[in-house]
Amino acid sequence: MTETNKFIDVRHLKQYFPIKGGVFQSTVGYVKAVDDISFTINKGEVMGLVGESGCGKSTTGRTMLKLINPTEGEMLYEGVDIFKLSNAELKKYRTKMQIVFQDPYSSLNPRLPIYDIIGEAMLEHGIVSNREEMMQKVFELMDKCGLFPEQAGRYPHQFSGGQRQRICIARALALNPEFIVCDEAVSALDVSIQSQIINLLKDLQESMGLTYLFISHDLSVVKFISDSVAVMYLGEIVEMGTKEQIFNHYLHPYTEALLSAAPSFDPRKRQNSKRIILQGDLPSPSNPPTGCRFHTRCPLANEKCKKESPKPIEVEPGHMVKCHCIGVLSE
Amino acid sequence: MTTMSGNGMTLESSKKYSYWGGVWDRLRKNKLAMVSLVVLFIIILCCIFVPIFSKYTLSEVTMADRDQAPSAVHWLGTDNIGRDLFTRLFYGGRVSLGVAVAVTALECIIGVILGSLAGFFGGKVDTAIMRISEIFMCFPFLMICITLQAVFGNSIRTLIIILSVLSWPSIARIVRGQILSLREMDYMEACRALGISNKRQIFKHLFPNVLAYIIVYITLSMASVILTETSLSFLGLGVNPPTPTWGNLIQEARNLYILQHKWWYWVPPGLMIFLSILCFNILGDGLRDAIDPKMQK
Amino acid sequence: MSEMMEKKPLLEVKNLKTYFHSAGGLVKAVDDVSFDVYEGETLGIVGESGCGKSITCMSLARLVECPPGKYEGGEILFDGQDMLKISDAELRKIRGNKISYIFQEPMTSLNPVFKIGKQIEEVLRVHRNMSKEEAKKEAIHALDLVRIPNPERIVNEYPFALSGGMRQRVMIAMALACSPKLLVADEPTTALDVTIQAQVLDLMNDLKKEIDTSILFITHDLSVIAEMADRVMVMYAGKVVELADVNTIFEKPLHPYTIGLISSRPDMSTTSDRLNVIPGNVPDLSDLPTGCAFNPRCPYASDKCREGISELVEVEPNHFVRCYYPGGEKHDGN
Repeated sequence: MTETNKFIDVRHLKQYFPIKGGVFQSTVGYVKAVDDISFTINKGEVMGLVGESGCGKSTTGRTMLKLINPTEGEMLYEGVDIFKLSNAELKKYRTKMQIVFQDPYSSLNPRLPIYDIIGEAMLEHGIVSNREEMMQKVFELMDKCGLFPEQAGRYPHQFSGGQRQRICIARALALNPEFIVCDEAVSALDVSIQSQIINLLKDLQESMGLTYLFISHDLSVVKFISDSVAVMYLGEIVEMGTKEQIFNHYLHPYTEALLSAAPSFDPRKRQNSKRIILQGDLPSPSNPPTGCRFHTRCPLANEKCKKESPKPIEVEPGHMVKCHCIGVLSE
Repeated sequence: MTTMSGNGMTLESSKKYSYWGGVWDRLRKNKLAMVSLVVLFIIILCCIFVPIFSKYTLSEVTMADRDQAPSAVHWLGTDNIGRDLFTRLFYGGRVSLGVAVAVTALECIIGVILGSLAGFFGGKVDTAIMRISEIFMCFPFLMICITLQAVFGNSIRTLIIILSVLSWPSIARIVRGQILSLREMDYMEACRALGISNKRQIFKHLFPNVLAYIIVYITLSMASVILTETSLSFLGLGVNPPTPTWGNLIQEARNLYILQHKWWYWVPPGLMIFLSILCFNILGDGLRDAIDPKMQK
Repeated sequence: MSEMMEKKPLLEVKNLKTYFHSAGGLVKAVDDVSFDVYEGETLGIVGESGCGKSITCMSLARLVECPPGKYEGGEILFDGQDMLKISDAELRKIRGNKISYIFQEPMTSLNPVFKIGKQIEEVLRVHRNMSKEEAKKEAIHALDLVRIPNPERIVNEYPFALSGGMRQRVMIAMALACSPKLLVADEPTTALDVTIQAQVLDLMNDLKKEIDTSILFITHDLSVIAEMADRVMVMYAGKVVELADVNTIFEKPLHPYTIGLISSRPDMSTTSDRLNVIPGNVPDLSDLPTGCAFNPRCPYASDKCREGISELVEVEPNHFVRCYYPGGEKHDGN
């Protein structure tokens, strides 16, 4: 039973959102935001989840924490299926899994002082027994996250975006979690602040032995922070592997296009690099293409791709690809 | 707040950072709103303490002094049976403002409870409550008033009940809408992720955010209830004479002769209605701006 | 870079000051900014939120709302005219005609109740006095230019029917419809996905070759600047801190802020364990530190920096830096 030793083990996760229509608000269809994805994360590692907007990467993160009820699938946390827990049991697991959101403005209640925002969950879960003790812990957490503890009495609107994100991280750390979902945690920040937050996340991960699911559309950030990477397209994971496998030995044409689309940092490169420009737009997840979902934009697509959905294939240990044309790219 | 310390750490004085402190600061900078607040305060004080100002009682009839223009004896003159109009004006204010407070309170209680239920639970509860509110909004207002007054009798209590029962849907919809949009905020999602109890989610996170909107609604509703009560009393559908209200004080001036020659019958209550409604509206606008922290700059 | 000097500047901005008078005090959003845009070149403006890059560009066609904004001084010479002095009527002839804008949000830049074609035709009919038929033909041509498939069909669509990337193409088509001399693109790809951003950048690079338009390209994303610009201007807290051609900026940045920005971005080739960091926060424009606004975050700051701010100095040909210690060179004292 080596599989159950995996720290985080997501199996066949599906998240369908019903589309309501008509007079009686009956269900007329489904948005398949997440459609049958499976992956594992080892303890103490960072898994990057990349994809474009609407590919279901945020939904995946939220469903894993059961912030949205899943349609189907399992989410094993050290072998325990989070989705099957009763509310009381789930509350215990809430201390172990946390989330940091993208928008540092909407993720803090404007009407609570910082010490309440960071500390309330500690009181709720009995981690601290009184407010005195709570304040002590809040000060420690703020210090750890690069905030000035004497500002704990302030309200969110008195902080800048980067500081707010630090508050969000302090709040997530308050319960001593082992697993944190970072949902585009640095995307909304200014360039010079992004690097501060990335370093902070990395420091915390190493010093506290945290495990991250790092959701982002920014490949260079994912490459910097992740140990393994999964690429999502229209609700499916199309390629997954170690950082090395994904960035240097990618096999899926979508991964290749994504990597090539990221603008280079070197102005001299632009003359000689041949960029792969994907044609067309992302199809709607409520009406995904038949067969391989990527075939409408894929430069390699053939008749088989239009009809048959490819099965995930493990090409080498830990490297999964979902494509009919594996091997064509390398030629 | 400085008492709350640990590890020898002292917080900055947090008074100037408190949320409601900020609201008050912003409101204070709005001169028009502050003037309105003061005027309203004076009107309310006058209504409460009218027995001290005035040496006449409410229904003291002095036939000898009837129909007098304002003078040192009767500050706002007397009516056609010699009642002191200054006294009646502020006793009328008690009723008019009292009805406004009672109706607003009742409609907010009904509306906030139903709106919160609809917003928090969603689904079938939401659909049911919203359909009911739509039905209430469809009633032709005057006809319902006349009918109910006829059935239950013409009293202040009936008036209060009718007005509040007919006006709760608007606040219910505001509260529901707010809760629905707040539930989508990331910080509510963070609460769920942190395992914060429902009770705390509602009272610490949802309620203070909705409260701002309710407060604004209250000021605006006060103004509209005063106006409605006035119109109904003017039509004879509201409070019955001899109990004075601003509405039926004006109603007594409902003939051309009085309008032309006896201004003291109708100008003072008219002015009171005008002033109080204007002030409530300005205050409501001021509060709406002050409550939004983004209006700081 | 000497060939750049021979070219004629299309736009000369001299000591532009755009201030905002707000309840919180005076905000110097654009403070003494000078730069030129030459014919046919792309000037990139890069900076973080609140650095004044957008207000600078809005000021060019006097698009800043006054009040609360106010042009407190300077000149904007475009095509021989001072944009700050000409009448509103003359200004309207230039806007959308000789200077066109593309904004960040493709979802709100188009009017949702008019068909795509009508919105492009309107620009043409106002500035080019075209007949309805001519304008329609021209609109289809413009959509074709930005490689929108089936332009004949798209002109009859409403904006909601198009995706974000397509709308941004329509915005570009609209901006280019009158063959402007200057195209101002304010974060045109920020709201788009990576693969769609690649499409739009690719398109803009091609169009640059096809039509002879100068481009002012504003972004916070250094890699997009590296991709698009000929010269780069870095702004911080309302001031230009560095101005040079794109290769110089990336290979030999001299202002400590530029150096910090470039080294703090993880690149695809970053191998180190930690990112370089500019400490501190992006400053609040209504509450700037004295002296150089960057001094609280700068590793080289001295008392001199806390008291005064350097002029924009040409440290080598065509490389301007506003710093007492360009490149963080050694200095006495602390």
